Order: sequence, then structure tokens, then C-alpha cells
Amino acid sequence: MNIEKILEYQALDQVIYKAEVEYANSDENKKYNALRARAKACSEQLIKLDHETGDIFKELERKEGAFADFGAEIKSRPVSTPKNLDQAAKSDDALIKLEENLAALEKDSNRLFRRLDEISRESQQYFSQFMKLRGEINAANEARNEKRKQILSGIAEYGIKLNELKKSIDPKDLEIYQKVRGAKVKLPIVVEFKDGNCRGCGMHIETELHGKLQNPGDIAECPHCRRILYRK
Amino acid sequence: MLKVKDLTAVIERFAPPELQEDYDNSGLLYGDPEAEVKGVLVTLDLNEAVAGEAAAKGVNYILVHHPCIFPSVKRLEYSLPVHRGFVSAIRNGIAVYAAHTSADFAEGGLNDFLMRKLGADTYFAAGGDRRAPRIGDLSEPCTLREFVERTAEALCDDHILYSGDDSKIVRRIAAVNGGGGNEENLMTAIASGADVFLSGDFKYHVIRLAKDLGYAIINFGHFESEMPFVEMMTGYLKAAGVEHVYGAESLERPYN
Repeated sequence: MNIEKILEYQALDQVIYKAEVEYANSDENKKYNALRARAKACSEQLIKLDHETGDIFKELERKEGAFADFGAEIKSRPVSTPKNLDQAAKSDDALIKLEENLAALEKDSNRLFRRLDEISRESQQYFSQFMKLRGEINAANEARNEKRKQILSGIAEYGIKLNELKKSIDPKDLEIYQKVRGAKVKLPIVVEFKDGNCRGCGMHIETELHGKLQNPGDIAECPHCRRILYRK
Repeated sequence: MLKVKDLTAVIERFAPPELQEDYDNSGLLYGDPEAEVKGVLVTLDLNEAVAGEAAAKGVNYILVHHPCIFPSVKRLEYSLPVHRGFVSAIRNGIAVYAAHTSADFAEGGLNDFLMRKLGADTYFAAGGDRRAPRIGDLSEPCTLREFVERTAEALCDDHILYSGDDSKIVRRIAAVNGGGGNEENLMTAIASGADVFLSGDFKYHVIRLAKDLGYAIINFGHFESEMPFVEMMTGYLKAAGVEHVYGAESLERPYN
């Protein structure tokens, strides 16, 4: 790796990085992200309610089957008059039990229907809350785009210089740099390896490098922070 | 992880399928409801290029405005690009959902979105019918000529045709996105007191009628007036927390 060139590139990139951090920490961006998080929470609640509705419908289908079974049981009951008191008592007990079960089934079904009504109301509330947030998100997005423009306009010349410099850097070196940059490692990401330490994270890593970085120009990845290490 | 059925419910909450026209086919056209959604590609139309883009981006759900099959379709024709695109999506295990007139008529849907793009902050559906043209008042009234230019800019449409007095002041507008340039909508626009009626796909006799009545009309592109579908739905899905949502880049304008 051509360390000099990549350090030159990094020096320019650091200006852009600072602008990115300034934008990420700006009130406009934070507000936008907070609104999106709230909208996402609303949406997740709506999906949860959808799932609950699906489960209730399945449960109601089962109840419908149970009602049909009761109907069949009632139809299959003997219509003849009991021959003695014992038979009459047994028949009464069976009827009472049937009535109790039927009442329990009805109660349970009504509970499910009430829950469906509640879900419908809750869904409407969440959805109108979501749609309101959506409008706020659009406005916040415009504000943060304005902020981004404002920040970028101050560093436009660095972007141009960076693109110019890119042309003189080995694409393989640039690829290594961009890979670490993309992994959200804080800049600087190309740092000196000195006295057995990574100058990025400060960890002593000599033994972990297993004899790498012997000669100037050699590079290695810091096993702790993933920064690119070089030896002067 | 979001499933196809969950994403479908998210879309349908915004664009309820029961709003759609009788001839339409809005809804899930293909897809395993239990499959996990890896990402969504939003597009106006589906063809092989769009299906290929979805596969390349690693998404497995296409949200399209124009349905690729309608109830009258009896077979998938290899000679039809739209059918080949649909089959390509199926081959790649990509679910396809069409939100057509359901998205047009929805509260905050494409017709409403269009009104805001055209500069009307307050608007309503004529006669309270969500399927009717939207009527809106411009926050900044201007001449017809200026409004045509404003419309062209707002929709990125350089093919606009119009009829009417250039110096006429436009305060109230009536519009229908897509191909709503018919006589019925024109009459509704006139009855609502709008100064101009905007839509696409006007037939000659409707333009002639407007001209002879001395009424202003603006004929924008069907494509340009409905492309905001992509912006509208990607915005909606992202706000709903859906991850990996993309607007299709491979769909070309149908005319030069």
C-alpha cells in the first residue's frame, strides 16, 4: 500500500467525515430519526394487531365447529319419553351439561367478538397516529435535507479534491480503505503501528500480529478496532 | 422478521383493496404469505428489466402500481413483456403486489399526492366520492401559462399539451392522475368551479369539447403523473419501518 498517498486521501476524507458526523448529530437528523422510530413502533403494533386478528378468526372457526357439534348432539338425542325416574334424571343432567357447555362457548365467542371490536378501534388509533407521523416525517426529512445541503456546501471543494486524488491511488488500496470506512470505524482509519501499539485504539497488539508489519509499507488489520496499521 | 402477509397488510391499510374499481386487480398477485420479506422494490410497471433489478438487489417483493394481470386474463402470454416480467418474478421467488386504483383513491393516495405536487395545499374529492376528481385551491394562484410550466416542472414532464387562455388566472384546479381525461371527469371539474382540469390520456372529442366550451384543460403524461407512486409508497413503507425499500431504477419512460 502506498501509505503516503492514502494518508493524503485520509486527511481530506477526515473533513468529509467530520461533516457526516455533524449531520448525523444535527437536531434535524435526530428529529427525523426519532419520528421514524415512533412511526415504526406504530407500524409494529399494527402488525401485531393483524396477527392477533388472524388468531381470533382461527379461534372463531373452531368455535363455529363446536357450535355445529352441539347442534348435531341435540339432534341425535332420543325423543322418546324416559321410562323411569333414573332415566329422566340422567337425561336432565345431560341436558344441563349441554346447556352449560353451550353457554360457556357463547361467552367465549362473545369475548372474542368484543376483542375484535377493540382491535378495530386500536388499529384505527394507531393508523391515524402513524399517518400524522408520516406528515411530520416528510417535513422533518425536508429540514434535514436542507441541513445536509448546508453542511455539504461548506465542504464542496474537499469533495472535488478527493475525487481528483482518487485517480492517483491504486484502486486496491482504495478498496481496502473504503471497506474499513464502510464498516463505520471512526476516522482516522489508517494509523501508525508504533511501540507495539495501535495508534487508533491504543491497544498493545504486537504479539497478536504474529510478526506482521516488519517492513515499511507493510499493512495489517488491528485485531481490536479493524483500523489499517502501517509501519513507518 | 416481516412476512409477505404482514407487508401486504401494511400496504392494504394504506390502500384498502375494497376501494378499487370493478375492472381492477389490486392485491397480492403472487407470493407465499408466510415467506420472509428481504426487501421491496416499488415500481410503476413490471417488466423483465424490473424483475431482474429486484433479483439483483436481493429483494423478494415487488410493489407495482399497474397490475400485470387482470381478471379477464385467461393465460400468461410469452409474447407480452408484462407477462414475461411477472413470470420472471415468480421464477425468482419474488412476491408481486399491485396497488392500482386502491392506491389512487386512498386517503393520502396518488390523487391526493398529486394535488400537493401541483401546489394545492387544501383539496377534497368532488362530491365526497373518493373515486371522483380531486378539487384543490392553489396556495399561489397564477396564470394558466405559468401553471402549465409549474406542472411540467413538478411532474418532470416535457410533453404537456394544454388548451385555454394563457392569461386566465388559475385559483382552483381539478385533477385525476393517470388516464382520467374523460368527459365525465371534465364535467365534474366544471361543475366544481375549477378553473382548469388536469389529467392524462385525453381523447380528441374531450379536448374538442373543452375547447368549444372555452374551458382550460392540461393533458399531462400518464407515466409522469403516476411516477410519484414510487416516491409515495417508498416513503410510506420506510416510515412504516420496512427495511431495504427501493424505487425501481430500470423502468424507462415509455416515450422518447
